[in-house]
Amino acid sequence: MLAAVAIVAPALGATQLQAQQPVASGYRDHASLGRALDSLQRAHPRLVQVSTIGSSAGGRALHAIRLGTGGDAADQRPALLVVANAYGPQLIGSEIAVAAAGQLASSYGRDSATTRLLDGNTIYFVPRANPDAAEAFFRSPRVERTGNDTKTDDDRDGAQDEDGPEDLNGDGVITMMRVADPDGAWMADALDPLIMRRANAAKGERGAWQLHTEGRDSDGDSRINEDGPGGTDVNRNFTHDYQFFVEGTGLYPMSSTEARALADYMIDHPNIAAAYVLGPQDNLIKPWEFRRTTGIAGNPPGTSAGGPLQSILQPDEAWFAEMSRRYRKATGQTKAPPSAPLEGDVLSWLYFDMGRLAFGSPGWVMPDAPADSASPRPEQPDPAADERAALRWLRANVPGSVVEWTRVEHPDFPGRVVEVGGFRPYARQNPPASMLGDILAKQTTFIGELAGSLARVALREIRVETVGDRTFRITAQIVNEGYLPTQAAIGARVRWPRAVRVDLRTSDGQHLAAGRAVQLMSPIAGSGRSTELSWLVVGAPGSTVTLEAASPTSGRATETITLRAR
Amino acid sequence: MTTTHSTIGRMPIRFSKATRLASLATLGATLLVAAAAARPTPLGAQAGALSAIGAPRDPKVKLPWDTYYDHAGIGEVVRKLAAAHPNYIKAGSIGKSHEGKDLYLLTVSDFRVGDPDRKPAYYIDGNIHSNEVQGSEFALYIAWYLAEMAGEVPAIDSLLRQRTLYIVPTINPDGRDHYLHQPNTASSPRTGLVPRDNDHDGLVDEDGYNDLNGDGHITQMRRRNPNGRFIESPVDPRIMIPAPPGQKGEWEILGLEGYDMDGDGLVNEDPVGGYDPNRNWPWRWAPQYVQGGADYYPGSLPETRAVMDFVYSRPNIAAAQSYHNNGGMILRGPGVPQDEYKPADVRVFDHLGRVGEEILPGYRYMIVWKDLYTVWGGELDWLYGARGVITFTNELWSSFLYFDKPVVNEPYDNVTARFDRLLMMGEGYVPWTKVQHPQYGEIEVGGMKKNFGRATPGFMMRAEAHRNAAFTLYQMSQMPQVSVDSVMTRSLPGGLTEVTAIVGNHKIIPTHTQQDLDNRISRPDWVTLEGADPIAAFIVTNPLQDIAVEQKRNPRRILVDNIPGMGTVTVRWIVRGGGPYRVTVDSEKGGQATWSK
Repeated sequence: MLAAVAIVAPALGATQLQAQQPVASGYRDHASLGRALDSLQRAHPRLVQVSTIGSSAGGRALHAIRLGTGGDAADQRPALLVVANAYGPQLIGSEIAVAAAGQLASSYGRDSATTRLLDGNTIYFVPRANPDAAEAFFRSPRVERTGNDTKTDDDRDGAQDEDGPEDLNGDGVITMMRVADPDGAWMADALDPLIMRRANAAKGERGAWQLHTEGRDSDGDSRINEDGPGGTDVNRNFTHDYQFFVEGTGLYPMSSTEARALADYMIDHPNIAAAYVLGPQDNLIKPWEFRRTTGIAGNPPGTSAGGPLQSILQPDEAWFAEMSRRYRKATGQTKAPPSAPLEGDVLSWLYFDMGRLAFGSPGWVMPDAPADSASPRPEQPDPAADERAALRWLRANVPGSVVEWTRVEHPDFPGRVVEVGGFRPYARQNPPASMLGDILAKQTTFIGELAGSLARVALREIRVETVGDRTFRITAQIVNEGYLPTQAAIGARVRWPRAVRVDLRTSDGQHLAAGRAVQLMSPIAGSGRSTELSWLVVGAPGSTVTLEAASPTSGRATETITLRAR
Repeated sequence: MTTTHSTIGRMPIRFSKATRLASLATLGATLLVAAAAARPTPLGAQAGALSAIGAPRDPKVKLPWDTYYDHAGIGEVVRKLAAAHPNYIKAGSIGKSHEGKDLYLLTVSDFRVGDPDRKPAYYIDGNIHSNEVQGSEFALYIAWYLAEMAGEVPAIDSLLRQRTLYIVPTINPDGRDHYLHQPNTASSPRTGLVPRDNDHDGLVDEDGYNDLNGDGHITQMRRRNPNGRFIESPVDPRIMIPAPPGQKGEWEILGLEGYDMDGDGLVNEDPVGGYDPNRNWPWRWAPQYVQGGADYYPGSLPETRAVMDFVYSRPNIAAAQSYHNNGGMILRGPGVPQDEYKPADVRVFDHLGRVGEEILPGYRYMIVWKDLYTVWGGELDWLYGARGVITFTNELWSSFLYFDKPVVNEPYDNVTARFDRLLMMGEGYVPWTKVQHPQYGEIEVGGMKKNFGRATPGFMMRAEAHRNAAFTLYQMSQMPQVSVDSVMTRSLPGGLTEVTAIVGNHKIIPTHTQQDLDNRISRPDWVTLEGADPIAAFIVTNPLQDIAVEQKRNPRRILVDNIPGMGTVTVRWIVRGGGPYRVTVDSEKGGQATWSK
C-alpha cells in the first residue's frame, strides 16, 4: 500500500476539498447495478436473461447476464465470457460490461453485423465479481478497497478489522498521510512534493517523513490502519500461482464464495470458448509471449514432475499477438502501465486452469500527459514517472482529483507536523463520467469483435464414392470457419473445453467397415483450416448416414449423407 | 493393571508417586472385581473368564472387528458407541457428502474434565479413497478401545482427560457404499461419485465396468487363443503367466470385466466419478494436466470443504492421521520437493515415524514426493502446510503381513495367491468362469475378489487396527501440553516485586511447529498474571545469563511465540502488589495450565 502515492476517486466536477456525499454519476452502486440489469432484461426479454450466480461474503448477489437469442438455445452456442470488477477499484469494468450488453442488445435486429453475431454466438457477462469491495466507492469516507466483506485478522493479533482508516481532514476521502520525523524513511520528491519516495542513504539522502494511509492507531499497537475492513481480494483468490499467507489473498485458493460462484458458472456453461477480463492484469496492450522455462529439478513445466506452467504454450502465442493488435486498433490504447502480476487472478486462472484463451485489459488507461518543455526535468531513470504523469493529467483534467498536502492535527502525534494528501481514491483506475461514452463505445466494439472471432465448426467437401457393390467411401472436411482454434493448445491440455466430436451414425442394415463411429478431434486452427476424415460404409444404395461434428465451444454441423456416388 | 503401553517409544518413564499409588489402587480394585467375576455377570462375560491383555474385559459395545461396514453400518456403530459411553464419546456430523450422507464425527475425550475444543486435539479420518476401506474400521476401533478401556488403564484415563480425538471414520461415504455394494475391483472406485466426463466425449459416466458373471466382483477377462501369449501357472492355475519364448500360448488377456457401452471403441473408460479426492486440496493444488484427478478447483467437492471447514474451526488440532491403503507406509509430506519440511519439524516427524515403524512391523516411514510419487493438492500437505499440523498418512495393509516377512515371490507364484491357498482355503479368488461377452464371444472371468489384496483379511483386522491405534495414542501423548513449572518472587527496591515464571511443554511436539511459526498460523501462547498490577513484562531469553527482553505493550499478558518440545520459556513481571498471584498459560494447540499461590 505504501506506493509513492495513494488512491483516488473521480471528483466528477467537485472542485472543493470538502466532505460530500460521493455521487458516483457514471458509476453504479450495487442497488443501481441490479436495477440497471432488470431494466435491460425488461427491455430485451428475448435477448437478455439476468441471473444470480452466487453471493458475496457480504451477502450481495453476484449477477450474470446472458445475451443471446432463442432462450435457452443460447446456452448451446459458442460463447464469450466477460468478467469485470473482480479487482475492487476498477468500477470502469462494470460499466463497460453493462454498456456492452445494452448496446449489443439494442443493435440486434437493427445492425446486420450484431444480428449475425448474436444469432451465432452468446455472450455472458459477470459485470461485478467483487461487489463488496466495489461498494466502498459509494461510502463516505471513500476508501479504495480490494477486499470483500470477510472479517480477517490481517496483522495476526487475535482481533479482526480493529484498525481501519479515518478521514482526518474531513474531505470525505482517505488518501495518504505523512508525519514529520527525522527518523522517517521517506522524503519528498524534489520537483513535486506530493510524490514521496524512500531516502537512499547511499546517495546521502536524509529521510524526513513517516508515510501511512490516512488514519490513527486505533488499537494502540504502534501501527496505523494495519487491519481495516476488507478481507479477501477476489482477484487474488484463484488458483494459478496463488499466494498463501499473504494479506488479502484469502484463507486458501477458492475460499471466497465469489471465486467459487464464477468457477461453478464456468463449469455449468461448457460453451464458453474464450474470455475477456477487465482488471489489472493486461495481455491485450502488451500480449503474453511464450517463454522457454524449466520446471522442478529440470523437468518440463506443466507436468507432475515439473510443476505448473510458468508460461503460455508456444502455439497459443499467435492468438494473443493478433488479439492484441485488434484490441489496440479498436480502442486506440497503445500504452499501459505494466500488467499486475499473475498471482491468483481471474485472467491467469481462466487460461492455465480452465483452458480458455483469456484476454485482459484494465478497460481504461489514463492518457499520456506530456510534461511542459519549460518545466524542470526529473533525473533519469525516474522511478516515479507513472505517478508524475498521473498527477499531471489528473490536475489538468479532473479538478479535485488530487489532494495537495494539507496540515492536520493528529491525536497520535501531538505537536508534530502531519499532512494528508495524494490521489483521490479510484481516480487512477476510473475515468471521469464525461469520458465514459467514448470508452464504452470502443470497448463494446472490441467485445463484439472478440465474440465474433470464436471457432465455428462446419462440414465441407463431403464426397461419396462407390467403391464396390453396396460399399461406399465417405470423405469429409471438418472445417473451422471461425478465427480462433477449436481448442487452444492449453485447452487440449486442460480438456475441460471439449474437443470437436465427430459422429458417423449408421442405421440398421448398414455396417461401418472402416473409420471411427465416434472420434475426438485434435485442435483445428481457424480461418478455414480443416482436417479430413473418411469412412467405409456397407449399406443399401440410397440409404442414409448422419455425419455430425460438434462441441459446445465450436458449435454444431450436421449433414445427412445418401449412399450413392455424387 | 499397570500401564504396560507406556514402555513404547523408548522414553524414560517417570511414574509419579500418585501414579504408582493409583496403579496399586487399580490393582486392588481389579482383584475385587476378579472375585466378583466368579459370579454370573449380567452382560454375558463368561463367568471365570480371564481377559487377555490388550482387549476390553467386557465391552459395552460388542463388535467383532472383522467386518467392513457400509455407511449405514458405520452410523450404527457411531450411535452405539456414543450411547454406551456418554462420558467419553459424542456423535455428530461435519457435513454432508455429494449424495447427502452425513460425514459422521466422533468426539472422544473425558467430557467431565475441561472443554474438549480447548484441549490439544488429534484429528483422524479414513476412507478418502472409496476402495480404501479399513481406515474407517481402524478409526472406529480407536474410539471403542479408549472408551472401553477407560477406568481400567490410568494412562488411557489421563489421555482422555487431557486430549481430544476428532474422528471422521469415512470422508467418502458415497464411494464407500459403491465399493461395498456394487461390482468393483480392489482398486475401484478410487474416486467419489460426483459425475464427471472422464473421457471428455460429452457423455457422463457412460462406460463403467460390467459384472458379466453377476458375482459382485470385477475380475479379469481371458479368452482361449492359440496365438495368445499367456498360459496358466503350473503352481496355481488361477495365475496367468507369460508363455515362455518360442512356446505357443493358450490365452489372451482382455482386461477387466466390461464391454464398450457407448460405441466409441474404448472399454470402461468413463465409470462413476472421475477424480481423486486426495488431489482436491488447496495446498499446492494443480490442474489435472499437472496432477491427474485434481478436478476443477480445490474444494470443488463437498467432502473436501466439509473437512476443511471443520479443521479450520478447531485451531486446537495439533496432530492428525488420514488413513489410506495399501502398502504398509507411514507417510509424511511434502508431496512436492520444493516444500521440504523445516529441520525442526523433520526431527519431530522422524522420531514419531521411527516409533511407528517399531509399533507396526512391516510398515516403513517414508516421504511422499521422495519415496512414493509427487502429489499436488493432497490432504496431508494442506494439514501441515496451511495449519502446521503434524500429519501422517498410513497406507494400511502391507504384503509383509501375509507371512510376517518381506515378500519373496516364487517362480510362477505370487504372495497373495500363496496366502490365499495356505490361509484362506482359496476364498480370496473367483475361479475362472465361462461367460458370453457381447463383443468377444465366449470368454472366462476370474481373479482376486474386491475385498482381497488391499482390504485387511478379517482375522487380521483387529491386530492391525490396534497397532495403528497405538501409533496414534503415542502421538496423542506427545502432543504439546503446557505447564507452569515454577513461579518465584523477589523483592525489588521501592516496594516492587519481580515475579518469574517458568512455563513448560514436556512433550515432543512443540506448541508451534516451525511451519506454524514461519507463517504465524496459530496465535502466540499467552502467559497471564493475575493478582497483581504488572508494571512491566519480559521474556527472559537467556535464563543462565539472566538476559531479558521487554514486551512493551499490555504487560499483563505476555505473548510467547512458541514453547519448544521438551522445553521451557522463562517470563517475568515487575509488579506492584503482593498477590496472591495466579499465572495462567493458554496455548491454542497446547492446552492450558494454571498456577496459583
